Order: sequence, then structure tokens, then C-alpha cells
Amino acid sequence: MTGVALKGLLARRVRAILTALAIVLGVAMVSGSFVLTDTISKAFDSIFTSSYSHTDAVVSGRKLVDYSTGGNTTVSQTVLERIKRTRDVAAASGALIDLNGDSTHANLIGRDGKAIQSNGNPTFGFGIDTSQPRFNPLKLKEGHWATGAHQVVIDAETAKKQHFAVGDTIGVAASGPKESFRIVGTATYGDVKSLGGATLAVFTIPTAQRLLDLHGYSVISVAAKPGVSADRLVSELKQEVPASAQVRTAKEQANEDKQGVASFISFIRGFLLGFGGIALFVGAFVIFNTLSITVAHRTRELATLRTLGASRRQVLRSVVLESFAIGLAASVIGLVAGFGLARGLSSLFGALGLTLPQTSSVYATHTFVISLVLGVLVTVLAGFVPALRATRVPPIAAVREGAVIQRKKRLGPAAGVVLFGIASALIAYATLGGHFGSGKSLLALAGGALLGLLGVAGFAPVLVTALASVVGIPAKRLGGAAGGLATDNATRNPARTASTAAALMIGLALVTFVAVLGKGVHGSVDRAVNKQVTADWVVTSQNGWSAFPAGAGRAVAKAPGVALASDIRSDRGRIGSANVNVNGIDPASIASSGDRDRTQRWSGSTATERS
Amino acid sequence: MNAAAAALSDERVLLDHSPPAVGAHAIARRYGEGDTAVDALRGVSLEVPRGQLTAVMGPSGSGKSTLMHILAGLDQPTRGSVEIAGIEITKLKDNELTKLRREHIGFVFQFFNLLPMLTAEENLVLPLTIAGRKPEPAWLEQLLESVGLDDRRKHRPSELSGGQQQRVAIARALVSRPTVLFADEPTGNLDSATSAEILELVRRSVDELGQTTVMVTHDAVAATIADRVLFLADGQIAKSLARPSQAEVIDAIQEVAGQ
Repeated sequence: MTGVALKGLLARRVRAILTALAIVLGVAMVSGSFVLTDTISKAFDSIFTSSYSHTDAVVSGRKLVDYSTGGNTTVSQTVLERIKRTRDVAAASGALIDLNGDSTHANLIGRDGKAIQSNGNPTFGFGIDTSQPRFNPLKLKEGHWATGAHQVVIDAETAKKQHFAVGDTIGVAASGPKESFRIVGTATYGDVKSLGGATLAVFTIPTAQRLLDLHGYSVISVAAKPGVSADRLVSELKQEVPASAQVRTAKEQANEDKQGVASFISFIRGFLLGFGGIALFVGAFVIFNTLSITVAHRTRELATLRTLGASRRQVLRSVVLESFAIGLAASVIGLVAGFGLARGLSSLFGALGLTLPQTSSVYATHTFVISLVLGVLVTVLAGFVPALRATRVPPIAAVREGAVIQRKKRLGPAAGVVLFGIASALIAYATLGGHFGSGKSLLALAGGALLGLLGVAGFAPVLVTALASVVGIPAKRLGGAAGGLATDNATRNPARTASTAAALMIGLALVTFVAVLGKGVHGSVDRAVNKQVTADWVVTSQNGWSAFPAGAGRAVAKAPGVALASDIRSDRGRIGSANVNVNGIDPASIASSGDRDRTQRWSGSTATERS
Repeated sequence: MNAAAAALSDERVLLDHSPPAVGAHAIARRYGEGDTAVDALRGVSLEVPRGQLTAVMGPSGSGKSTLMHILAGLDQPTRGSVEIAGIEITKLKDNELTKLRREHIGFVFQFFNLLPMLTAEENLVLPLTIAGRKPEPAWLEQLLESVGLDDRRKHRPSELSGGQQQRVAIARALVSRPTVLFADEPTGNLDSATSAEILELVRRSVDELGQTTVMVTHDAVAATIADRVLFLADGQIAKSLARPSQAEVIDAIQEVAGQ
């Protein structure tokens, strides 16, 4: 029977291939998302691990507040001296490197006079002690490390993209106004080919401290003497450092650094998998439809098999096997297509300004397992109802022309209405329940949307009859007999017409979803700003949330034509154990911001919450 | 007659004291309900003796197809009972019917009903494949030879003529050595020359293999190869003839139709 089923599938291969296309797409999205995010993840991993490759322990300032622009506390020169004198320490070196916070950021100014920045990617400004190369996470590519107050090393990728060479002069703006530096070298971060959209400026420690307005170091890397374990070194160091600092093994520190990136990656992954899921959902509908039609066409063949002694179970198995084979083939193709898609997506994100770090692609086991299992499972589940229907083909259909399969009562319009009702309730709960944005409400929303689609699919046959008779009026007028036939065909088997239209319905729902999502995000930001700000102009950093120099406020106030400017500074602070927003305003000018003739300006070392 | 066929035929003779291949008792079949109800069969009783070819004839609407469907377990009578090899089949569950079909019933259809994606040989052994059994090579060769498709075994149905397809279908019905073979208008879709070949093959399978056969036909020529011909009219057996000539068959048809 297996052979019979597979040979039958082979005979209908063109139809099978077309059917499988939707599954191929869905699986490709899934496998592509995994390859892409695993690859990004690996690139970040190597950034973080190469930061500490010759380090045993890391001493860093404590994080006092989440999402603070100011970053963590720093560790002083005195602490560094004390660490160096600790018994089991072979070497220690301080650096200004804060991969997660905003505290070591310096904008490179491009040839057009604008900050080199892409979509919120970090613009790192590091201070590194190059006298101890073992702790240096960076690799020099050209030239030499900065030795003087007006020297900088920039990352090789930015140098190439922005056409800067060793010996050129480049502008840098950190906490103060723009200054000019001479590029004395280019570097890469460990072995990472691309930092994504991030830029990197590396200074001497004193220059970095001055530019970033920081005292001491953000991180001290420590190497143990031979034979001393990292754990022992850490416990020794804990006795030496003040309460404002923390000591971790290099491994712990790397994991800590990864946290921020991990949530970003899981966001991208979730986003892409969402699309993959929708594609698979559409695919399931298509498979369901095609197999239903195939089963109907094969009524006599299936009945003949029954008369020759095939059991219902065998018929069921043969149709399930068919969908299994379609699913497996589609999933394998989709899996491989996903590998290509991952590259394409990476370029697409790049084109949208969201450049992602690159390294050789990662093909993890879970990519293979999840893609194949998901693709096959969805196809087999979608094929199950047609398979059940095939078992109801009576043997007598082998001898009787036009025998119809007895249908069990299908999920009727009533069930559709009930489903739609439940869906409406869920969506109402999600949007009006007062918990909008919480996990529970999102789940209710997703479930509601899905049930809504199924509900509409349920009562669609009723709609079709009504719709077709309306749409059919012009068709009959213009198309004559052909138009009339078309209308009759559409209404003759409303269930069939409806299920054919279902794939289109889901496609449209998807387009609407993306459009509403995009519009919704814009709309909410627009409304929020319009409600709060009556000023004519608002000055922010290029990405809209990063801090920018306080001097900008004074510069704007002096500009001709500006009647009034008011600075706002904000950051996160802590009261007791609670994190709160702290805003700094100028009471004299902010009160006038309601006056339409005056200008309000937001500036200062402004940060916003990114919760 | 070769040795294997002879042995088989002997076996059938020995089993002659066992119940008839097919027995029907007062079967009636009504379609629909109330005013629109149609009685296709109104009490038919018959016995199909083993090793014989029984033909069922009658004008359209006489109930001959319904009779065959009920005898073969494809349809259920409204009243009455049917036995195949002593098994009462009208109350069987679906999987019991499946078992019955595998062991006791072979089918030959008017439109051949071969599976288009399988070769002649694959179609031929399909009942065994479905039942999870392997064909005995000698039996398979004998069948292929006797239906004259030795050189066509790798051809698909689309590459075979109508007559060749029907021969494959007959071999397929014989392959599991069923208690009874039901042939539904086996020549209904063939020209007269090809029909003659097919009828010769059906007759030969009865003679050489002792294959009990029930054949529904409206073709007077076809009926002449039967050991016994039953004439149906208005859902009842109107006449029965043993080994009739063509002329006798035609007379009987007219007599029955004129009632």
C-alpha cells in the first residue's frame, strides 16, 4: 500500500509541488530565522568572548539602575593599583569599555558633517591600555594604536565604508562639542568580520576619560598567576574591591554582557518566526484544500482499493502518507531555501539600516529538527481531515458513476458564528481589558485573531451565497451566459468556494496586519509627542533617544530666530529599590512651552527609558 | 489443463458438499422513502453453486445491478440475508467486510478500474499487496500466461488496449483465488471481437480453475457462456435457464420484458 500511495503521489507530482510551495515558504522562513539569529548570536558571542580571551577575572563598576544613560559606576585608579598588588594577580589592566550601557559612546563625524550612525546601533568610544596587549579585545589591522591626545583608531569597516584612511582627520563628539582627531590606525573586534552598524573609536585611556567625562575605568581585566583558578582569583579580589565594584570570572562577565543582545536576538527571531508561522498556516489551508480535491477526484480509485480488500485504516494511512511525503519534501527544500533566505534577510536588514554583525553562517541541530518537524507536522495535520474523508468513500463508488462521499455534518455556520464570538471576546479583552501589552493580552489577541479567521471560514459558505449573488449581478449583465455560469458555479458549492477563498483571506489578513502594525507604531509615537509637546520644534539625537551633548542646548538658544528654548534632561534613577524616571527641566522656560509663539527644545544628556 | 489448475479444480470438487458459494434468501431493496420509494428488489432468493458461471440478465431497471451489489456486500438489502461461503454478510462490520473481500471476493468492473500509476503486474498482484501477502511466483506466471500478458507486464494501463486492461483486471480478480468472482458487465465497454476474447477468458477460468463466477450482463452473447442464466424483471427472478443458446436467451429477454 505504501508503494501504491507513493506511486500515486508521483503521478500527481505537479499538483503536489504547487501545493507544497506554501509549506516550502513557511519552513524556509523558520529555518532562515534560526540560521540568521544563530549566526548573529555567534557573532556577538565571539565579540564577548574575545573581550576576555586572556582574562581570568573582570572587575567592573556595579550597575545601579537599569537602562541608565550614565552607565555603571566606574572603578578608580586606586582600585587598579590595589588589584595589581594582590597576591595571585599576574597582571591587570583598566579600560573604558562598556558594551551594554551608553557610557562609552563617541560619535564619529562623517565627511558630510553628520554623525556616522545607523538605526540606533552603538557608537563605541573606548579607552584602551595598549601596553598590555593580552587584555586588548581589539586587533590592529593597519597603522598603530593611539599614543597621543589627538589620535584615534577606528574600526576597519567604518573606515572602508566612510572612506577614511590612516593619516586622515576625523571629527569625534562624545559628551562635549566636536573635536578633531588624526586616524593612526584601523582595528577589528577580535575576529568578527563586521560589527553590524556599530562604529568604534579607540583612544588612549586619558583621552577617553576626558572625552567621555568619566573617572577611572569601566572595567579592569585581571590575569591570574599560573596554577591559580579563576574562582580563587575572584574570591581574593572580592576582598580588595569597594562595594561599588563587582568581581566576576571572565566567563560570567561574557554571559552578563550577552544578556542585552540576547533579548534583541530573541525579538528578531520571534518576529521572523511569526511570519514563518503565518506562512505555514496559509500552507496548511492550501494543503487541506488540495488534498480534499484530490480525494474527491480519486473517489473511484479509493473505492476500487476498498473492493480489492483495502481497509479504512489502509486508505487513511495512504492519504496521510501522501501528505507526509509532501510535507517532508517541502520541509527539506524549505530548510535549504532558508539557508539562502538567511543571507537575503541579512542583506535586507542591512539595506534598511539595521546592519547585523556577520560571521560564517551557523547551522545548528535545532534548525534542522524544528524546521523539518514543524513542516511535516503542519502538512500531516492539514491532510488529516481529507484523509478521514477518504476513508468514508464507500466501496460501491467503484461501480457507481458519480457516487458522492457521505459527509459527516461539517463545522457549520453556527459553529463559525460561535468561534467568531469567542474571537471577538478575546480581542475585546486584549484591547479593552486594561492589560494591553501584557503577555496575557497578547496571547488573547493572537488567539482571538486565529479563532476569528477560523470562525469566518466557518460561516463563509453562507456569506459566499449572498456575496456571489451581489457580485454576480454585473457579471451576468456584462458577461452574459458566461457570467451567469460563473455565478452559478460560485454558489453551487459554497463551501468549496469559501475554502478556495480562504487562502486569499489569510493573505489579505496578513497584509492588513503588517500595515496596521506599521501605522500603529507610528501613530502612537506621533500622538504621544503631539499631546505632550506644544513646541514648534524638538531637537533630539539622530536616533531619537540617545544622549547628545548638553552644549547643543545652549547653541540652539543662541541661534537666530529662536525665541525660547527649554532643555530637558532625563535618565533613570533609583528610589529605595524602585527604578524611576528622573527628568530635569528648566522651570522658567518649560512653563512657556504651551505658548505657540515660542519654541521649546528638548535636549541635554537626554536618555529615555527603553522599556 | 495444467497440473496446478487440475489440482485446484479437484479441490473444488471435494468441497462440493460445503455451503454454496453465494446464497441469498428473500432479499429486498428499497431506495428512498414514502411516495418516492422505489423497490429495486422484491424478494430474490438464489444459490450460486461452486465451480459454475452464473449470469444475471434483465432490462435496465430490473434490479440486476442492485442484486449483484448486495450479493457482493457493496450494498445492504432492506430485508433478507446473503451468505458467502457460509458467512452471513449483511450484518458484518466494515473491517469484517474488508476481511471477507480479501478472502472470498474478486471483482471485475465494466470500466476495468485499474490503478493508472501501477504497471500491469503491479495491478495484478494488488489484492495480495493490500492483504500483505506475497504472490507465489508460479501462480503469478501462470496467470500472466493464461491472460496473455506475459510481455506486457511492465506496461501501465494507459499503454494497454481496452481488452488488455480487462484481462489484467480479470487476472487481478483471480489472483487471490476468491470463493466467488463478481463480474459487472465485463464486456460492456468493449467491441464485439474483444468481448469474445474476454468471455473466452472468463469461461476458461471457470473450467480450468473452477472459479465460481457471477456475471451481470445485458449482452445475449455473453450470457451464452454461462452454466445458468437468471432473468430479472421488476426486482424478481422471472426465469432461469441452464446453458441456453443465444436464441433461447433472446427469446427469454423478450418474454421477460413483455411481462
